[in-house]
Amino acid sequence: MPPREEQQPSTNPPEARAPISGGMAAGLLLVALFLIVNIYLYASGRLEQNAEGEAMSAMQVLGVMLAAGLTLAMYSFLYRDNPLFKLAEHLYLGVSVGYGITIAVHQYLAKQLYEPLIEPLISPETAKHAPEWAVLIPVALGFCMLARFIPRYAWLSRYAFAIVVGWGAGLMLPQVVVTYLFRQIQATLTAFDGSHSVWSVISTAAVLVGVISVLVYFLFSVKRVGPVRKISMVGLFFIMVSFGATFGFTVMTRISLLTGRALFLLRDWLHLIDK
Amino acid sequence: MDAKKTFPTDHANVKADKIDLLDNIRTLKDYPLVVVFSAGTTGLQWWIMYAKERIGLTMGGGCTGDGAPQIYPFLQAGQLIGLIPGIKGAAEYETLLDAGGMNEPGRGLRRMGSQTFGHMIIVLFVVIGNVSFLMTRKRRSKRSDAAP
Repeated sequence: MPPREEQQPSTNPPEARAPISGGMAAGLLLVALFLIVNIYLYASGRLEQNAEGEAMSAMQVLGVMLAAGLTLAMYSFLYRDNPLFKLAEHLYLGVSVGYGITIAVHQYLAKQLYEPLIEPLISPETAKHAPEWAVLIPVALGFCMLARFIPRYAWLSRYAFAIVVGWGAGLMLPQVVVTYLFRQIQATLTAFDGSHSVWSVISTAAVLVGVISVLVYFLFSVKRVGPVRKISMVGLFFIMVSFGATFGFTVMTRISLLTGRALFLLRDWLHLIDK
Repeated sequence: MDAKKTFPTDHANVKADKIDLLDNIRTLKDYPLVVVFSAGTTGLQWWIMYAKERIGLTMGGGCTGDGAPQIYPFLQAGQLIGLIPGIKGAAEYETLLDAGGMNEPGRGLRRMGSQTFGHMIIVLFVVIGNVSFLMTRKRRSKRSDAAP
């Protein structure tokens, strides 16, 4: 085995690192500008009222400033990934999780467990009803699910999941078949019973042609030649129209979100527009 | 099953018994009309599945624009009596209110201008992209034809 060569120390002088990079300087400048704008808005009294002319409390004013800052931090990603965006992103996720936990505690643990069972047990003199012992069944199933984290008792979770999945499937399947299959087939055919307008019949006929041709397009067990190929091409046309409509609606939603934030910045924060 | 026992208070902790609107309401069947507004489509679809198909309630709905294509089939099938799809639906609803003399055009209608402009820009970019794609393909095929 050849002897390991000793690493020679670099003869180049270490690069002189700037105490503050250009990007960080720009970020600090923007933060300073944001603070100056907020101070001006507060001092000029523009934030005393909201867009509807109602007086705002100090906390509400702080909320508007914070929301404006976070909105700008989010849109700073349009330039590139940066610490301000990261801060806003992490804050958003943290708040979402915290909100979810709070809802779970208030809606489930407090209302479904504490009030019906624990409260009557610990303070029976003030309780409005007797303890509801049946609550213990879902509580036990919940603990069984958590047992998944303990390898020795992980098998207990199978019973809880079996009940949830079985219950869910039994409850869902008939409704899914009725809602998504039977009613849709019924609606595709009822326009031809003679009691509908000409336009309704044409519209439903187009839907019928679309349904059949798209089903033929996804029929992979038959070779696509002759009429099958032609019908599947019609199906492809309908699929493309459907994708186009979905894309159009998605664009509409994104533009709507953008205009909503722009409206907030210009109206609620800067008060540059009235409505 | 009594709805007031399941939900004894509203969001402001007002007791359900004290809300006049709920005087004649005991179960879901007592509601003459249910209108569900859903961020996305999941909530609305579940309501159609149970409130409409299981209980037989009359239902209307509102959803965000990107979920509308999944909800339109329910409207056409008569499972919903009406749908407010995204900002477009909001503008249509405001127009109806205005036609009925109930309200002046609101935010939804005002924001349709920016929607139209945004969509025109997207359509323009799609056309430019397709034209440039076809021109590039034509140029390439000419080059390959000219090559020995």
